[in-house]
Amino acid sequence: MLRKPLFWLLALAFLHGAWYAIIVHPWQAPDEYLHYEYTRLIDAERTLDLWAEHRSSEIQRPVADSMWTFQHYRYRLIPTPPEAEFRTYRTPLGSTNFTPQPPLYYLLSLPIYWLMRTRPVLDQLYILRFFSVLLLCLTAWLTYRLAKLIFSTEKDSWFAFFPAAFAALLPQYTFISASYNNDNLAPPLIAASLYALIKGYKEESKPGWLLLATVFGLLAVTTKRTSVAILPILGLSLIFYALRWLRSGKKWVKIVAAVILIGALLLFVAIILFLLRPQVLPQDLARHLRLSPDALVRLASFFDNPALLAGHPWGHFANQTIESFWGFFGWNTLHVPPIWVSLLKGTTIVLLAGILVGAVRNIIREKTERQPHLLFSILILSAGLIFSLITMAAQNLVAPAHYAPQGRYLFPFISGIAVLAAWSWRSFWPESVQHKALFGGWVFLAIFDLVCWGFVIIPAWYT
Amino acid sequence: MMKCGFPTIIPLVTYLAVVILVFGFLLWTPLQIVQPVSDGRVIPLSAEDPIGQTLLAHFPGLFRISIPAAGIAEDDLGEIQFQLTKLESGGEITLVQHDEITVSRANNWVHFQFPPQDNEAGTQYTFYLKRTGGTAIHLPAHAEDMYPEGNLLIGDGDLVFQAAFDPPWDARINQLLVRLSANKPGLPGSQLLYPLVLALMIASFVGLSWMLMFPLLQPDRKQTHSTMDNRDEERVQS
Repeated sequence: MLRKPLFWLLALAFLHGAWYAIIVHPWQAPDEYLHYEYTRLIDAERTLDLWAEHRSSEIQRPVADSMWTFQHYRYRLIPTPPEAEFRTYRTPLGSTNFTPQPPLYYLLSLPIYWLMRTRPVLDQLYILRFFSVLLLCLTAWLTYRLAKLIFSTEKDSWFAFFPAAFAALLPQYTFISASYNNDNLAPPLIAASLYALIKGYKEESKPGWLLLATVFGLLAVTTKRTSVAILPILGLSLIFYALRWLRSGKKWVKIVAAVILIGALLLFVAIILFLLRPQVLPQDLARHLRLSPDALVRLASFFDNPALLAGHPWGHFANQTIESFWGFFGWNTLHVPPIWVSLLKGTTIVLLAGILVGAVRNIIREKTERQPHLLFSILILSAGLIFSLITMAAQNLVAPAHYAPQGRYLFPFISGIAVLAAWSWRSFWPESVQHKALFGGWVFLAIFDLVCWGFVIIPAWYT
Repeated sequence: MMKCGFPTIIPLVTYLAVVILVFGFLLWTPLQIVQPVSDGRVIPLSAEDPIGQTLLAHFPGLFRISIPAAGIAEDDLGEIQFQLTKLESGGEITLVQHDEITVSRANNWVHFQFPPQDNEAGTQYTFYLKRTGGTAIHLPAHAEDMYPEGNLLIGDGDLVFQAAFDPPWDARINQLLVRLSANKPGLPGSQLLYPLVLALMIASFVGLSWMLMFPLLQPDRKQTHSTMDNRDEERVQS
């Protein structure tokens, strides 16, 4: 085991996560105190239907005290309230955006909280952070399994190793994964769902794998709302599975496949109708989805008057999405040096172009014809990236003007993105040097990581 | 070996060079306290009443205070008198530096530099600014408390400023570890943990890179692109 690179990669992922967990100030990761408070409220109220009126000073006061100790607002670059006001109920934690959250992450971490219930609040926070770090390791391992499944004909396991390394070393993903945040359970669940989808497709579209993928996908949605992008992926995969079932020898399987395909067509029409007229969504359902009527009206206005889109700050949206995907720390307060921002923008563009280059290169290769799962994989992983971007962009369209997109909303699909990054980067190189190119990519990521904590985080918070 | 090995080893050497750069940056460049945020408020600097701002030194070796020149001189030139005082442990206040400087819009920051102070970490300083000549001068500030470890002496809020320190490297490492572990419980509160995790992390990366790179350095393995994972399979096959 000690001679296996995967073992050492998982050890590195743990150390990397642990490093971020200890150097990031308590509560200095996005919404961390709200996630902690939510777990405490589930324990105290014994319900998942939690609203602002459930919040209590008993839970908030020790959190507020530790926020004061670590100069929370100073490092968040917003004014610090007067001390007397700060330490009183609700002032420091008074977010009005407090609504019921998908509960799975909190429920899984609740037993850890119970073990630490009598300990001070910071003890609890650090243990809960390390629970998240273990989920980072789990994601890295699942990404390795996923990539190994997709690149199964490669002799060199390095092709599976790079995507796992990408997930383990990406600074922004590690920063979030080393905090207490319900973002962190979605990536392993989505990775498991994608693995099951592709495994099933490889094994002649076995419905059992599709069912398993659906279970993991739904569990992901009960962890983080942005994981909802897995649902169209499951739908898309069902269509591919059904197309294969149509060629089955059994008549009833053909009938089921035909029903699925007709249903998919009707659903597609319904989605188009909804996009043209979002108001058709019943108000009860809108409320259940936490969509305000105002949001629906704003969404509709974009489709009624596309000229509004011309005034949308797309450039800002793209720049901030890219920056906050790679490295944008604190509460979006710590930028990486400008030269790195430009470098990362260029890298992103190259990687996106590489997906197309890779697809073209592989389509024209005879080898690909014998492994249709490869194109199926790249198709659903690309669709996952696109649907994640749409999910994020949709929030940007309907939210107030000050809404800032955050690349972390793409992290539920980090395993798929990591595989796409490997696929894309290698596609630019001749086969004989692809492994060296990937090795260079992995060192580039590690150097960027050094820049993030060595030149940005530690100087900003500890000097 | 050199033929295929040299290009492969370049990324690893680059990584190690950046590791050295990071440690060099943390150990040899001036450390700074920065209060960068202004809400658009500007404080006019008068010739009569000086503007004062307190700050808490995290490190020994305070040697420079800087204020932004943007908005300082509405016309071409202004003259500022700078005075720095230190709150001694006994409670008395001593004058550290007295200086006058002419500034213009051409400067990004106006620097008031003096010999490094032989202070303890945690010493409180106050700097005062007064206009002694030239045209109107305004200092960018924030009306609310952006820097809880210090305050404007007139009214609420904080000036926009930077304070730079250049402590000896041993004091710097010691104080950096103190600050990394300060107020944290259990293991994160241990100063030893930080160099330990960092050393293990960098060693893991370098070791892992070497494990992965090593097969690439072997000319006979170059044909198959084999890695450690495949060695077991090869052994079984043989």
